[in-house]
Amino acid sequence: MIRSGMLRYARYQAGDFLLQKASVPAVLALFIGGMTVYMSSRGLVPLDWSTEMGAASARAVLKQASDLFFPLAAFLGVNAISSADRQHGHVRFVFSKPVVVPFYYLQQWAVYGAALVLLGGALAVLLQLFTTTIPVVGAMEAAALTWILVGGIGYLCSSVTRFDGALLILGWVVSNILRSMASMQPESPLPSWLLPIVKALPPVDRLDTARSALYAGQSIGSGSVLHVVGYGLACLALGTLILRRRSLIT
Amino acid sequence: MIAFRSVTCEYRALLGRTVRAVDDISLDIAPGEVLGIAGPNGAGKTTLLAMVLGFLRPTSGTLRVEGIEPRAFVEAHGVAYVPELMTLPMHWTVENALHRLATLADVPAAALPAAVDRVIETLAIGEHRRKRLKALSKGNLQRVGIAQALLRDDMRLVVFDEPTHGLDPVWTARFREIVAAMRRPDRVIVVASHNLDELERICDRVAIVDRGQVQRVVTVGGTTGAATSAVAYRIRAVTGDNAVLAAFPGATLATSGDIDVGAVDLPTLNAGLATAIAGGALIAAVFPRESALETAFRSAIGGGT
Repeated sequence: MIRSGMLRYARYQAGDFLLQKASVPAVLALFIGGMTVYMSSRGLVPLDWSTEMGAASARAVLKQASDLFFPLAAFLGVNAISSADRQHGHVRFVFSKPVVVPFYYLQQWAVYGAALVLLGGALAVLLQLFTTTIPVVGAMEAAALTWILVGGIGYLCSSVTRFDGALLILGWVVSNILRSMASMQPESPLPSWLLPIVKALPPVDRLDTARSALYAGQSIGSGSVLHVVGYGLACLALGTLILRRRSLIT
Repeated sequence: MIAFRSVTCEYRALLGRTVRAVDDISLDIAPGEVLGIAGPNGAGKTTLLAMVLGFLRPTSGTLRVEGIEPRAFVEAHGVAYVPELMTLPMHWTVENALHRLATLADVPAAALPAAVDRVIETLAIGEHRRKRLKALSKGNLQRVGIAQALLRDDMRLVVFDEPTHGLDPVWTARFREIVAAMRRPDRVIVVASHNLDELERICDRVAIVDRGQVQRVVTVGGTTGAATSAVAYRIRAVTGDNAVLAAFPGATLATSGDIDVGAVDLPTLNAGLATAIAGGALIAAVFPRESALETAFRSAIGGGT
């Protein structure tokens, strides 16, 4: 049973994300975007936002800032999302209340994701105010895809171990390298037996491709979206099952 | 209300040995009862409470709270719980912590400010309400821990783990009043503590736990068990030490006029006193050297703590 108190608690979870998780990446993104806008306004960079070149530059600034902000905020948001509560003993207070454990963390995951998308949209709107029309909705879609994949994998890792942050980074890097090698033309240097395993790794390459297209205002293939979203949500579902069954204290 | 049936709980280290923290415990706790859990460090008290709260599942056996699994009970009704350690995020303010926990406890939004004010007043932490938790002393932190457990007054299960840890004598006494006020016919209160005196004052029964097992369950409070409980006494005789020593085999002279008598029940004590007085002793005072619970505790765990 979902209680109204649990739903009302979403505002605290949103505040936690904005203040403790997303604030530093947001400041960094603002700095990156703001530098270009500032230099342009001072005439240090000869940019006319109303031209096609200016529009391309604005999209490039959006990509730069978003490529930093979305993955970093997503990582900080999902890192230790449930493991920290177990490690620090917060579970003893939170889960002595009438709270369903998986629902608490699913709500936290959803609130963090929604906050990331809205914050991404707000930053894009801010950039648009000082430059020219940029794909704001595309930026929000990129934020959503990033959260679903990074957040889904991180949620699963956190349900299993307190070393979830390291595991997430390791998995991301290994997947990036192996998927790049697997897609080399004309022939992959990887042994054939490894290729099915690489296919099961997180689709980080597909996420990167989709995000680049969204920042450029282009449409993305439904295959990529389905792969990224399906992978992230499958991890989320598995993490939820584990949280349902595991002990809350170790 | 709470039924343990051959409950065992083991911790398995990844590469190490298995540790049996709770070993084949069977115990019933009835509605309206205040049950104490006493035991030395590492006896299994906290594991026992963790299972009652659904934080841990038994490795074998069954544990039911109102006929359902503990986790399901907690998710449906909640528990008023004071953990041994205050493990809330220390950057939270007292007021913020209480508002958050009241929200999770499903206190209605309209009633929430009043509920927070009520517990702040009950625990007299008003002057600290805007302070961060990390700025509080151990005792004040413990009072916040107790306050959050009182946010709802309709909880049917109350669990205190070392509740007076860090409290000064005034607040220890106040805590006893709070527990007394919490007694209700449909409520179970479980208190784990090292403090036997405290348990004797607030509980109906005390389960003495050692090496993961309930070694003994002692009825305390009131006079029900007093007549049959064996307790060690000190008898102060103005005259007639020898008559007292003769009346109680094994008794020893502690100091001039003070005679220590081993554990005896009340009928034996009275019979011995009558014999001593008849033999010429003039008795000034008789007082227990330790409570029935202390005697039972020492006996149950083999003398050490």
